[in-house]
Amino acid sequence: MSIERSIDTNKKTLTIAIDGRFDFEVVKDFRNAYSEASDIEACIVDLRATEHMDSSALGMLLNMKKSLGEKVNISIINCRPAIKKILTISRFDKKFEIE
Amino acid sequence: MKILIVEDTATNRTLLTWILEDNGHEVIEAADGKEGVEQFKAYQPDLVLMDVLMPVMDGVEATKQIRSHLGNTHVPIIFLTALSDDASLTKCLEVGGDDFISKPINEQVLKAKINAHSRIKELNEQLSKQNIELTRLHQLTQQEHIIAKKVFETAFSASLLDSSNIRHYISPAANFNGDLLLTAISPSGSLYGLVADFTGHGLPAAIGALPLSKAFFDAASRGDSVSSIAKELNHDLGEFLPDNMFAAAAIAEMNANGSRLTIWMGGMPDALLTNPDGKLKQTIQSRHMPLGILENDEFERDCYVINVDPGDRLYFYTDGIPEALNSDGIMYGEKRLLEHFNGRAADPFDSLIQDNISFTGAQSQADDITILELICKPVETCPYPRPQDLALSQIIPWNFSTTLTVDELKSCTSPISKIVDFIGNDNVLGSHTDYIFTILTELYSNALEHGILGLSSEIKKTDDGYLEYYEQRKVRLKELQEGQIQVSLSFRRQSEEGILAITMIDSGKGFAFDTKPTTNEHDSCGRGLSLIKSLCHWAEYSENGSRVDLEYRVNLSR
Repeated sequence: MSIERSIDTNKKTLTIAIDGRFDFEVVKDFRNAYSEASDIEACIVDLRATEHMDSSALGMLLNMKKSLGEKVNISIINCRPAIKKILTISRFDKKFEIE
Repeated sequence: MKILIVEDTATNRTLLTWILEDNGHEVIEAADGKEGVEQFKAYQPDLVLMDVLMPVMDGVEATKQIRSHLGNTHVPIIFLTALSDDASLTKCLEVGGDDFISKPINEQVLKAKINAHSRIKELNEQLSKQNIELTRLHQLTQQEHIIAKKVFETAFSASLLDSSNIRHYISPAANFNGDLLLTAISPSGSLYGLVADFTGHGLPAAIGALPLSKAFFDAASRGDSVSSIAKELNHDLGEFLPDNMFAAAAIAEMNANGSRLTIWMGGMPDALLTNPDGKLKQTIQSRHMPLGILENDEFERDCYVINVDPGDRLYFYTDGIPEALNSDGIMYGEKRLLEHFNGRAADPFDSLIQDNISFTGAQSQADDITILELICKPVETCPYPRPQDLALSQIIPWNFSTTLTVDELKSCTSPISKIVDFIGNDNVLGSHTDYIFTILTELYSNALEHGILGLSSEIKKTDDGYLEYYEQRKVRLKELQEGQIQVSLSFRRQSEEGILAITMIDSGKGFAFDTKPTTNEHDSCGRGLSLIKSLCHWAEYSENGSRVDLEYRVNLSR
């Protein structure tokens, strides 16, 4: 379980990739991954390696959205079907770009 | 040596026999050509001394018959002759004689010639032995090539996805030359394509393809990124293959909605990206060394990331296409290839293949040819194999129940994973474990956090509170002295539905499960319950929130 953070300086895009389970165990790491980013225009949450997520992860995403503000476009990419279903059930497609 | 003397004059025969026997040879005698042929067949001598003019059958005819009897085996036949005219001598050689000795016979010359011919015969025998061995080896190699090709074609063609996003063309050369085409779907629904070309031919190349494909499918099932896949394959090939073997490769991933390509290429011909009309938009060059050469720390994993428009097409091909030769030894070449991508060909994929085939004509194909076309649009394929047809009678009901005590609750790995592992073995629920895991995890979080640990969701309302909540969870769990959570699962079939009933009871004081106002969509908490409810058929909290019952249903009719 780990959080990997990479930034593309040209495009001002922050990418956060979550490996394994996206749940309360990574609350702190996840927050650290975006809290120091300033001046970014877009944020990508790459869930390609995320096997499961729970409702605490939904909360984390919403907190991130609040913290980064409306100007930063957040997209959640590479979701597995079960994760996509959780996001859709929770209507996250309204606030995030889910790919 | 065993020597046959065919000579009608008895004194000559006796004289020759003495000389030869003195030199340690074994001698068989015949008085005319006919007897000579018979003796030859009976005793299989190593060398024949043959008179030319004899009654019954002359030496020329006897030689003819012996030669036809021998076929490809070589036994020297030396004519003994008083004749000296060129025509007669030529005739003797024409029917299969190897040499002459003039009569009267000189003992020294006879001995020298016998030695010379015995050397030739030995060489001949060696050669024919080696020939047989060579033929055997050649057949073995041919056989291996056939096996390699067969293994390869069946093993890998079966794994190609049936997807409307992919078209491919594979034309192996007569001998397997090491082209490999693999496709796979990631857990998130993106599409991977790999085209590789191994150095070497036949079995060695096929052997290299096995670890490569295994590593590829493993990585694909984990949903690895293209750069990770490239790194992984490079590592595996480096480990498995000898230094002189490596694989040029192109790896692409198209995201699930078909709007983005990520490409890594090493040692491959340029990849082509066209618009929907088949007009070239972009040429993508290999920027890396082939797989299996560089060490892990030298390996460069950077990829092309290309945003594409709907209907764009990506082409990977192996060098068998541009390097195809026609009967004049002229190469097909890059220029001819690119002409199919000027937007005028109705279907570049087809027209390239047809043109390449008619260019090489009757010339046999020297190298494997592989082309992969990825069509950029939302990925259409079944990401998981369809559940197999299950006879309803094969579905058996079962119960599972466990009581988790403080020890298990404190364990750093969630006991829910273990329980879900059990369920994963069920032939109906096996493909639903993701959802069941989510349901059980949410139930368990509620039972543990609100029930046993007495945490209130109110804390979570702010960003800092969110962290605070989980900090407190950690602390309280560590200090926990007593408490238990009882989990019961029971599965049964009711006509064409499979029903999983879940009950979870915690020893806590309960929590205000129903007083919570409807969740505001901006709130970062209170989503667990609605998540559970939307995944289940029904769910109900009771006993002040310390007990929850729900049903998860699976439709068994299809």
